[in-house]
Amino acid sequence: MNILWRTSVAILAFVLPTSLLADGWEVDTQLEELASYGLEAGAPALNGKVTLIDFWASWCAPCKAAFPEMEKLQGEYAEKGFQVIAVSVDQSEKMMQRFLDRQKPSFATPHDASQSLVAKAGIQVMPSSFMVDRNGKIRFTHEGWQGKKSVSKLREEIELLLNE
Amino acid sequence: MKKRTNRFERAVAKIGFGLIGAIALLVAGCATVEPYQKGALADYTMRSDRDELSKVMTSHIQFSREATTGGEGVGGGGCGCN
Repeated sequence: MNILWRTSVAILAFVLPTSLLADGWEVDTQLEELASYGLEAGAPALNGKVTLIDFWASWCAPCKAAFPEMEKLQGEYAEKGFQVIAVSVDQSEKMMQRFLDRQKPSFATPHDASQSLVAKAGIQVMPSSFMVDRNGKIRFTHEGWQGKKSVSKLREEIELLLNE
Repeated sequence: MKKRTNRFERAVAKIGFGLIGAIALLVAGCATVEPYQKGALADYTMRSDRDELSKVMTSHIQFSREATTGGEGVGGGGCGCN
């Protein structure tokens, strides 16, 4: 039985690590400050503000389509304590910069050049975004961009979290 | 009885280790591209239709070979003479 036991342990040792690695951000995940991930261009503090953390890339058309709407939301709710942090996962800094120069967003756009933060978030879809409350806890997650539908959902969530 | 059990256990262990080895070899050839790593795949150079002339020629050859002319808005009977 000893050999059978050892074989089972060997199989488990082979299979388990892959399943354990599959973690990611989800509702109720408490976030650390993003600055600890070594993002280029830095990232503003999360604590005390309702934050939309958006992962985007210059090669992702729906990600770029979300920018004008995020700009409007930032303009509308910034004074009440809302901020957008749009984390670029671009491997090409040149392409990222070209888009940012054209768009000129007013919110923070740190660059996750090493893709360590996005790997930690474990996103499955581009774009993906996370609505974080004033205490740094993820309260809502979003996958993809559905235009007006996404905007109204974001607006509802922002108002709910700002009024807490 | 004990000898027979030992032989059975060894056989199972051999099969188990053989399976692990086979899986390890197969998995070593796989690479998962995460959604945020698809920048290179989304590049213009990865498009099959980026060269207009090449696209027309490829379509012409395919239609002639497969006798499927007309499937992409080109008239003809598949003879390759259009």
